[in-house]
Amino acid sequence: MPKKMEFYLKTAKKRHWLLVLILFVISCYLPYLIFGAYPFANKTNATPDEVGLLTQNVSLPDFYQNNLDEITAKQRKLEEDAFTSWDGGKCRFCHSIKRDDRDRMAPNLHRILGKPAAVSQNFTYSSALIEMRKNGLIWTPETINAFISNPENYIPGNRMRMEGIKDPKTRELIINYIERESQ
Amino acid sequence: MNAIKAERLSSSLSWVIFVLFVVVFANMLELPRIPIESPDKDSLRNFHIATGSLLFACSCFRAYLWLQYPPQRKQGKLPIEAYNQLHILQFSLYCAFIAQGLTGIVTAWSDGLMQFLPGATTVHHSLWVLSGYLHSVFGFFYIAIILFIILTGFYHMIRYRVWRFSIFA
Repeated sequence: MPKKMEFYLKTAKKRHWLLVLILFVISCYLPYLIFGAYPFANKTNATPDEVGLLTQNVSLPDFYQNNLDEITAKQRKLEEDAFTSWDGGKCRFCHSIKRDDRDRMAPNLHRILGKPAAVSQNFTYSSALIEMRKNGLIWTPETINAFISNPENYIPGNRMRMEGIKDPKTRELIINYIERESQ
Repeated sequence: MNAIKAERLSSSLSWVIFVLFVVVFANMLELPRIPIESPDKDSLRNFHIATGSLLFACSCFRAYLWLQYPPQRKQGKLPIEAYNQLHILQFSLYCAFIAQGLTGIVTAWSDGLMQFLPGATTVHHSLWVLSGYLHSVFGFFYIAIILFIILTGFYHMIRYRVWRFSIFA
């Protein structure tokens, strides 16, 4: 390094670095605060046996044996758009849905209907959602509808940072899409 | 390389980095709005990886020049203390770009988007989640630094009557 040049990093004092450190610490929290992201994904939430115990005394229809109505290509596109698009539910930005899709920022929703809440592997759930699992929450079209209409109101403290889908038709299209993709 | 050449090169590189930053930032704002299965998503993501890698490489070179030929205080009105603060923020910005690039490469690699060995499976969900989170952290970090550089610049204008400042030094 040329000796005549002033090297300001050396003459700087601790308080000059303190601002940078504070900004970095705040930045570490922001993805969690804004997107509900979590840096670790190694928490195993429930074993298959535990999942079986959670549903053994609950009478649920087999959502995947239902013969869904045949729909037109236009209707199918509407359902897909409701699930995937920015103007719709924005679900696909965090959730995958196809059978072979990997988990993304949020759990895969393939065959979510009939499952207890917070049982996917590879995902660190909020304490609020784990508590709801213990209280017996099982995902059905009705509970999903209530959840996505206002997530924070339905499960306070959950990490799905969205304000809710107000339009009942969009919610219906999304649930139909989940059911159809899980067949 | 002498100090004058290094300064010219640093200045040019700063402009290149500024342009790349604007392009990557605009791409970053657009990317989430495109549905994942759409072909546009792939194009935009590939573009993001390409320009982001270029930004990473230029930032590494800029940081190297910075350490070898540190920028000198040209504004006599600006006290050394004030210059130190601005200087550290600007240097931290390049460090943030480098960290952003590194975490971006790991994110893309663990998502199976970059393969250095043909046919090798690189998908690693836990690593993808961690590096993706850090990529987001450094994104917020450089936005915060830029904001504070601008605020510091305005403060220097009012307090010391220094009418010229640059974000990227």
